[in-house]
Amino acid sequence: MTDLTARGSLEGVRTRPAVQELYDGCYRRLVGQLYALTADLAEAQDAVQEAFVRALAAPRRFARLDNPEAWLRVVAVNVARRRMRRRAHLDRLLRRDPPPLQVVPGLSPDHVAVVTALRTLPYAQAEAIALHHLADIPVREIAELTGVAEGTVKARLSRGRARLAELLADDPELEVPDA
Amino acid sequence: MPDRLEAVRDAVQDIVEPAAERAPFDELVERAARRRHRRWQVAAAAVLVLVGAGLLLSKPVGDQVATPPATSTRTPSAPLHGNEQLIQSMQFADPEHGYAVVIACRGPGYRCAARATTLRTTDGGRTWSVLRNPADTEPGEVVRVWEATEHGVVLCAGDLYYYSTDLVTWHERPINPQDEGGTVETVPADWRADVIHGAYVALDPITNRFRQLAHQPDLPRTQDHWTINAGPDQRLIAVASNDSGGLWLAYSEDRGRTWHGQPVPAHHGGDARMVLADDGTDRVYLVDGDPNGRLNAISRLDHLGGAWVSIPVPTRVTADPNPGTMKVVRLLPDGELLYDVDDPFRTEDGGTRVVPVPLVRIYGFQAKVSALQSIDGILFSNVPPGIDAPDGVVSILVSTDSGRTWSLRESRFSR
Repeated sequence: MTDLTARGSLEGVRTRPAVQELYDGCYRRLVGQLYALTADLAEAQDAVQEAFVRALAAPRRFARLDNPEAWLRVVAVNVARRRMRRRAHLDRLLRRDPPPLQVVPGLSPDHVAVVTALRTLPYAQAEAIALHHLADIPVREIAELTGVAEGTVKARLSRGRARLAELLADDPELEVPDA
Repeated sequence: MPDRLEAVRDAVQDIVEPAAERAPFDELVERAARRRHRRWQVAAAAVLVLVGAGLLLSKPVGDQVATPPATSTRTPSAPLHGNEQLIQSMQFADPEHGYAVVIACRGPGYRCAARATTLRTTDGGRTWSVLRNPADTEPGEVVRVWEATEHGVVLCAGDLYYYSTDLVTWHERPINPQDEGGTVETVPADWRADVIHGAYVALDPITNRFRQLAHQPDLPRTQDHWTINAGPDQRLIAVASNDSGGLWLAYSEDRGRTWHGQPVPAHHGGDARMVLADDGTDRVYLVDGDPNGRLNAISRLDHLGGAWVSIPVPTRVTADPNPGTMKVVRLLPDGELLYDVDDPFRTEDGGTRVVPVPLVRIYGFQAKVSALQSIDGILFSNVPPGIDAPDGVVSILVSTDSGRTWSLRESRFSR
């Protein structure tokens, strides 16, 4: 099989400075957003770096993007999602407990409690809450990112927050912000 | 609750983001380059023997489908040495003679920088023995079998490749070819047609020398040019493409002395691909995808110089809401197409009817396997990651009926 996209070496040379600029400017922000999703700093770093590698490996496609940072976030979220599902499956197969939460030094016990509670939610709800409330991504963009309708995202947010409030013994009555 | 979530959000920004460690950018560039190179290798192998790599889904018998772990992109702090022999790369020169790079790891979460061990088989993977070579000083995820032929084997590791014709003496060469100078009328036997510095050349993959062809194909001077060796007579196909989706073909039946234009059917461009048959013909498929990765059309050329025939694309491909996953098409030895997606399926009757790819039972799991390599009508695959072979055992899957059924071949080897 011959793959046209693998042949853009000149394109890659031209795209590289733009990717490096993004790497310098957006990397930490993307890692923060992915940490909100994964609760694992190493996984978040890994997923974001993988997104940048894919950008460099497919320079032609990357050069056409209107919003490269959003593309990188989509790729990183998808990478993280696949890995989390695989890990969860292996945990079930091996009948082992999930690994303990890797606490980043400096986070307070309350921060850790919220993140820990988030991990116990169904994945779709946790993803919606992490992306919207912790990563500040609008509902509309989450809908595009996860491939579902905006209403579905809002429902996941609502249910997730209610469940989270139960877990943290907090008030479940919250409004769903507009996109 | 909103306050607590906001507090966590602020903490992520104030505490987590500054704590994020960055790999040097050059390291990402190198990883991307390695990945592009691996894709090129798949393309090169496909020209000779068809079909690319694949792993798909596995599940324990009686349980729901789940995805096996992927190779991590994280550099591990220490290799996870063990006795599980994971095949990283495999190539067969013919149905009996082949080579594999394995790494010995432990644990299902593969993050292993263990050293490579290259193995050799002379009986179709029923038994393997260690092939000592200089590339095996590198981590296993770096070393790959680049090309296996009746004359020898080429291994690559990083920017170098190693070749041997007697499997005892090894020659080290940089992957970037060295110019020998001068032009040549045709591509000599056992040399490969390639494009270097924008010109079509004849490249000797063993000596790493190339010479520019005296007669260049009449193609637009676009950014992307490449060439492939196709068909039983090693005809040459030269290809040019541009960013606007243009794609042009020319072919030569006399190893580059004369070139003929081959019209290409209308296509969307952006992600057009070509798949070549290995069934003793020079059949070519043009797989047309749009910039979003959606596969729109497939055309078949039964012989160079002929007319393209449109192949139906199954509705489940064109209607899939996630088009980026629906563009991988491989050609099976029986001439049918394999759509190598999450739930892979294959065509029957040339494309009008599709059926799911059957599961294969391996070590208490059921797995969906796609072919790693097809040669002389036989498909070879490694065991999908996530399914552990017994310690010390090298296991491969073999199909002689285009992937309808698979058999397991196991072997232990001594170091």
